[in-house]
Amino acid sequence: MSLGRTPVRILMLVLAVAVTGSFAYAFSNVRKGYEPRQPILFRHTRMAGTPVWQTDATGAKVNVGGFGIPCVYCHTMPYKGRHSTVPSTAVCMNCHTSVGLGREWVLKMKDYWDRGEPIPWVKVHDLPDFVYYDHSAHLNAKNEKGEPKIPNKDAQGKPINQCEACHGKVETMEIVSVQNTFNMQWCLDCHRKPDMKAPTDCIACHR
Amino acid sequence: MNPNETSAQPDASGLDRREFLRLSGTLAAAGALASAGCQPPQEQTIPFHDMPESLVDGMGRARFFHTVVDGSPVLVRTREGRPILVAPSPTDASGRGLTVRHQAALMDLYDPDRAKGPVSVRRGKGPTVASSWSVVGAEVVSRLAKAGSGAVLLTGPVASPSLAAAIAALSAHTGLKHVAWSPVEPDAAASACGQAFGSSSAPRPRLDKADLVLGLGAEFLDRPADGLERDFALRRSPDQAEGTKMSRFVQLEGRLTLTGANADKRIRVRDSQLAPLACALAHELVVVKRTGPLAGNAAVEAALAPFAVDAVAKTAAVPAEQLKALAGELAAARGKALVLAGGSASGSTAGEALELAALLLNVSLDAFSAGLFDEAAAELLPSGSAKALEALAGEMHSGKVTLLVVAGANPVYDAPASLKLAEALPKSPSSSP
Repeated sequence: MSLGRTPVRILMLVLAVAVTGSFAYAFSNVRKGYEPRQPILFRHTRMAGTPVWQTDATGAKVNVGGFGIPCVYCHTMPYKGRHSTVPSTAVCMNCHTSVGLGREWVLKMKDYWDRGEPIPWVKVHDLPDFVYYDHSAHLNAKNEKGEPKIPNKDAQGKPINQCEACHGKVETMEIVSVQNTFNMQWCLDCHRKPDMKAPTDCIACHR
Repeated sequence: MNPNETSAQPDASGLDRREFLRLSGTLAAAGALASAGCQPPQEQTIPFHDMPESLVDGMGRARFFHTVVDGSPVLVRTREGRPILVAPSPTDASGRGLTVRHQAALMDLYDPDRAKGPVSVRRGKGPTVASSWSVVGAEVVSRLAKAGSGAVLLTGPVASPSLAAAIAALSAHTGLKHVAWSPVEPDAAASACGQAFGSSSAPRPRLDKADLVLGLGAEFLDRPADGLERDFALRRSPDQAEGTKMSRFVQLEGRLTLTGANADKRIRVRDSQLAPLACALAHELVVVKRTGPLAGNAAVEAALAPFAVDAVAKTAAVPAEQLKALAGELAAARGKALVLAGGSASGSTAGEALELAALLLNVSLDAFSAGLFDEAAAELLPSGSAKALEALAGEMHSGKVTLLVVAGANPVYDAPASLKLAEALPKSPSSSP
């Protein structure tokens, strides 16, 4: 078998196309759909989801949905700083000193708290280190009419969660995953919209 | 087929060995790429265990800590626990400011190879092992007790008075000999100061008070130190406050330096001719123009006699009129003129003579009595460390050193190669925290 033979040539060509193609596909879309497992099975559906009331066997009304806790209760800093911040374990302990005490994952979280160790959460939305991103600049940006550039209510005046614009409906995700491509093209798609009046020079993000 | 033969004609039945290896290698690489190579690395995001009140992540309030870098008190600015700027300490009364070395010290804090704690290295006994301060302390104490009078402590320059006191106390207690070594030091200036004033403590020149600055190979802009460049810059703006005027700077030097390039007048002289030229200027001032407190002093006049301007100008290949004009300028600016030596000329063999001549000129120009030198900010110049290290190397070679404790120095890296310290080290038991 040598490279001179037709079947080998075809095989090599197919291989080359496959390798190049998988490269191109992978690099065009490395972040969307990324769904890492966390050290603690924290359920955003339970915390931030909408309440669903049901009557259980004893006739008591129970909430099998979420508590509707706003995002910024835990992710406290998106309006003030660069990072929206992952909550410190102390924030979990605000409630879990009195509720959900016997649950498996609550116990695990309490373990970290008792040991005085931070929880090693896995970063889901992870931009490359050469990109500067500031949550507060995006959330506080206003147009000439004084309305936020990332809309906080729809045409009917119904409030929208601003976080959704990039992160999707996190309150419906059992395991949080990346909903958008989070690549440069995607950033620029928005920055280039005329009514955004957002900078598109390199230094805006690559500082 | 003979296994030692390589066949150009492949076996008709299938792949030959090379083709097989080539193909399987390609397939393995492709497989590895497709399965793992395209995913970004998984990263962790570690929150606080209990976040401090009012802290905004990423916009954290700048925090500061005081420390001593390279012998100067500094203030380090940190963001989110990361040091980002070394600034002069506001409590530092000396006004010496910071040098590029202080600024660059910031990078040491990010050096992945920096020591993060004590480690134990036994020569010829395997790899480095992490240790603890209590273990190291106990070992140093026990080995000091055993070593007796042959123990030597080798440090970098000691600028801190409290550290110097601690070392002195240790020496008095254990008989430990202290050697301070610095690869860069103004030896000539220190010894000239010692000869002239009886102490190697050099008063700080105030370039912001001088109307005329004469540089004899001075390099205060090339190697910014002690804030001299800042003082100099204060008087170099054409827009001066009422009552002061822009200063004039004349430089005599061999090599073109940044300092010389910033002079109003630069006169090219060989480094070796700088000391005689300085003496010629002194001759012109003291003997001919009878300027300053030393005029009429017979000993000084006798010493300066061989340095008449015309004779020196000929050997140094500088026009005599230029020197005479310069001396006239200096005499006219008496009490407002300052002479600075330094740089490579000061480091040469004639450096001490040059520094002494500069001192003589300054005395003749009343620079000291007119307050152009700040006695309060006098700095004890480190000196003689090269000789001390040479003596130490000799003792180490002859095996007289029973214990060498190295703290904050790296002599194998920065000592002159002729001392052969790397070869001497195994001859003396050493401990290097």
